[in-house]
Amino acid sequence: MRRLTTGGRIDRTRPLTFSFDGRPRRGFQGDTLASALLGAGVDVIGTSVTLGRPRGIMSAGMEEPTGFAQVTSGGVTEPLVRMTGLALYQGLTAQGQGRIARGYLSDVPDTGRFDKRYAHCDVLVVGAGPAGLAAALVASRSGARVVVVERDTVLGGALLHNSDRIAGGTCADWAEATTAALGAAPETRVLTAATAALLMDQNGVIVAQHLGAMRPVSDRAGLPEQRLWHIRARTIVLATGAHERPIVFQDNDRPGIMLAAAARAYLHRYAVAPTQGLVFTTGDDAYRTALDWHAAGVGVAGVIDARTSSDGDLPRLAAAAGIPLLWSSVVEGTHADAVGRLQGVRVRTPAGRRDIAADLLAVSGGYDPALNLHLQLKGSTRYDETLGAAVPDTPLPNQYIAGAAAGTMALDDCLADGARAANDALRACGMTPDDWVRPDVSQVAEGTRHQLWRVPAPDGDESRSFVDLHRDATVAGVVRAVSAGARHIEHIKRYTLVGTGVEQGRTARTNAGAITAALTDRPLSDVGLSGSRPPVEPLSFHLLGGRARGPLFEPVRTTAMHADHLADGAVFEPAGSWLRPSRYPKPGETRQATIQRECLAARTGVAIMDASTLGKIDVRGPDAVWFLEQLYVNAIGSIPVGRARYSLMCHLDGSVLDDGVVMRTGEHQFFVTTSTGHAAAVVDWMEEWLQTEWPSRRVWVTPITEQLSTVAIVGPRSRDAIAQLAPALDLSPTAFPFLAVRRGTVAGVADAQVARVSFSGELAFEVSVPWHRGPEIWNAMRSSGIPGVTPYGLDALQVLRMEKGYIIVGQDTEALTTPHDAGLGWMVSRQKSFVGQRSLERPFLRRDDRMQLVGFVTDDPSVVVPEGAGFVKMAGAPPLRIEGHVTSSCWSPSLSRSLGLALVRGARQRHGERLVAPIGDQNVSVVLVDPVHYDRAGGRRDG
Amino acid sequence: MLLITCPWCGPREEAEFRHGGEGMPIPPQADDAAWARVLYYRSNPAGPYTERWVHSNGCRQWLVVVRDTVTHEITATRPLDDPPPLRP
Repeated sequence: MRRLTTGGRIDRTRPLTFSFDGRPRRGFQGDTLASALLGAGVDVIGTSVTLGRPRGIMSAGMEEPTGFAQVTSGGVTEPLVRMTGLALYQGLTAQGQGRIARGYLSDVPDTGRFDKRYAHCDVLVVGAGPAGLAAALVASRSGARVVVVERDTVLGGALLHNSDRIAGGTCADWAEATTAALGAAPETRVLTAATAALLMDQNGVIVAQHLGAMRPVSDRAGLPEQRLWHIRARTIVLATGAHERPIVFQDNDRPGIMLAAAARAYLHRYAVAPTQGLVFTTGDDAYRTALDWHAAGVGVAGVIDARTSSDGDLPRLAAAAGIPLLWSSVVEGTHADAVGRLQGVRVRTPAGRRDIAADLLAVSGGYDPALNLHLQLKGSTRYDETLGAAVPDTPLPNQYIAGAAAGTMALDDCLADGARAANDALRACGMTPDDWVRPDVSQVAEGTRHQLWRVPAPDGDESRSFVDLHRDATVAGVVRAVSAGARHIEHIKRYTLVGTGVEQGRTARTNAGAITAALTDRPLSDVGLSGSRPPVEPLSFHLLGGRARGPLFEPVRTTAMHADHLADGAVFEPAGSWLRPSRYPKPGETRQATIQRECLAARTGVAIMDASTLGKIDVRGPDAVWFLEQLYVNAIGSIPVGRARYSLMCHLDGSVLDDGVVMRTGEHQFFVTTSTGHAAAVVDWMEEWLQTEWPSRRVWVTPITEQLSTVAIVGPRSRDAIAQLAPALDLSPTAFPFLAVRRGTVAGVADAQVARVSFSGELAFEVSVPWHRGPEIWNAMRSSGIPGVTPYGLDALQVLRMEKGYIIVGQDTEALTTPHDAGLGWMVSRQKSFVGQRSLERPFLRRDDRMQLVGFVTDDPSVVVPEGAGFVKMAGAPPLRIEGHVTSSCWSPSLSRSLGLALVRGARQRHGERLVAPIGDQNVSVVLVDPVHYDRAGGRRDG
Repeated sequence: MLLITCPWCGPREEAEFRHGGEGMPIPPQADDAAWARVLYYRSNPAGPYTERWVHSNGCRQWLVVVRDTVTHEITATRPLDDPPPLRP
């Protein structure tokens, strides 16, 4: 095609240069990438995806099946960008995509900025063509909160290439005036270059809007590349228009074969036209293309009309203009020049076959309402005989479909229907409908359309008759699918790939259905419509992620002592949403050496840990005892005030939910700890039971994890250490026994809570103080003068607790592990009922061959088995049964050997048995032992 | 994404809520078969389904939602039904 010297809605005073496939090209402000390429004479823009045939641009909108580009700019490269929807800008760099150059993702981090916004409105209008503009105008006049979403950079849709007249002016003038009116309406927001990509339940809509991505890099200051809108609308008017339908014939995929309305769009909006155009149609509408070309001085070779005649105005006007009309004729095939561009068309007329030269064939097989959004939520459709297309049947709740999307094609009807839909929406919102009267429209009478889906190939070779240009799917493919037994349209779709991919069947769906209907001898209404998947347009992951990446991906929680950990050179790891020290390496120290040093400090001297992330819950109220008795498997009421008890809770099905320490701090008041990762879940669990089952019980559950800093002081010399900080506290073993809880002044912090609990088996104290005072305890310990006070992290904590056989719920237990399986059956009270008790009575949960917790040691003490490794018996023929797996494993500095915990079938009866862990091509021999590897007598906890 | 009307906070995005499933009455006595039904069997209708949600990223109150599992339409939300008799 070529650029005309006059006309169009481009700005000829603002020429733009861009690059396509590495070659510099010129276009104008107002172009799309597609129109700029066509205007520059680039008709072949790539090769088809599987067959490698030359392909051009077929449409001017969302339905484009072949014109896709890889666009690189501003640190972002994006594949699969529709050329027909991409506004041209200075310096745009694009590559055609197809068989040769497929899309690719960036292999360097992209630096573009993507944003999100949220909006709410009374009426959301999707599409700003005639019906959408009328709907938006009516809704905005009523004072409703209105959002208009239009994929184009300007409002108007088909009005921008329509030569009819509205209110005495051009359609484009009316679109401009309406745009101005919407811009002036205070409660109306217009989003251009924005695609409503997903329709969700209850009128949630995701809209992708191009902002910086449509401008030269130098011009993007402050703008994100794209913005993702989450819009919640009380009502939605879908005015998404219709896509013109191609007709299938042999070699119908050549560059230079285009939809008829798209040819008008290129003429009126971009002043791009062929030298000699030709029209192939089954209705009156495409005569506008011939007439508009003629009026613009473009050569028109004629109109090929499959019908015998038409009583409409347009064919008469065309005949009067001297345009040759060929009735009862069809295009049977095409031929091309050396690069694949259309040169001419083989036409079958009642008088025989003839060739007509043309560089553009404008095809019109009718219009399909654009229902991608409606279909995303499985909205119903029915087949309309007159249109030869599916139209929406019943709109979804609080949605109104207007204009061409509803099958209303005439311009005046579209305006009226848009107003009707908006008033329906206003009524649904409880607002007053508007009495807007649509302006007068000059219109012509159109003759009846004839349905023609395809022209059989004259030589019978249907492997070049394309149903879906996007997927290179042909009539031959549909025939093959039907021969293979496929009858359902969704099976045809998967067999042939018709309607899959980015294009989602916009130009292919109805023709594929009609061909299937003919092949299976059914009416098209029985074949139905293949589905349409979200999103309407590809959305990049970067857009979906927005700014939530890198450090902003999720919030990171740190404790009050974080700066102290940093100063100590801590290495951190995520624990839930917390960042916790793994270890505190000294310069040049290996990981293993650090762990060993920290463990030995806890076993022989004093080690301190920041335990602030431990879940902490305050439970109080007259029914607190009763409540906790229900939730824990062990007795709670017998805990004296000032004492603590290691406690376990189960799910209703008897599996272990969490463990922790329940401290009774008053008659009706408890301080409950949970594992770090379960803190929120345990609070939720308590609230769920309180609200859903026991709402009349007087219990208050308050999460206080972030209220208190906790420092664990661990080791045989920990009593000496804390004595220095809390001289007033009687720490003697009789006054302050294991599991006692006291309050006192520690390191100058009054009313600190000190508890004797231990997760290492050593003498240990946990000191809890108001959050911001945690560093005082920590630093007082560091500078206490007790030699060798060593901070330790999670790595050492893991080793210490594994040596003692202490479980971590979720690591050493699975979804089915009961207290009994975990070796904690002794905790389960027989004196009361509790959540999970009924389940624990089920015979299945009492079987001896369940996966049970066990310790293991390796025969070779230096080999550490990876966690997750399976155990097998080295006997019998393969396949060998997996006997169990490793849940915890480490090198124990205190025992100078490798050891661990495992879940093994019937393990409690198997202590002493030898199993094998196949690791790669090595078989590691292990012996099952009691889970408590260290200090089985438990004497060390008292120092 | 659903839009769920919290009886206390008004219409909010589904992301603020957590699904709590079908609230199963817990019988004081049940044989193993009946107890298995309490634990593992749900009515799973194609149509209106009365289920519990909790406004976990909001007021943290539990509520009853009647949701059509076919159309996703939410026909009612309300505070929890009258509390069941006290039971351990």
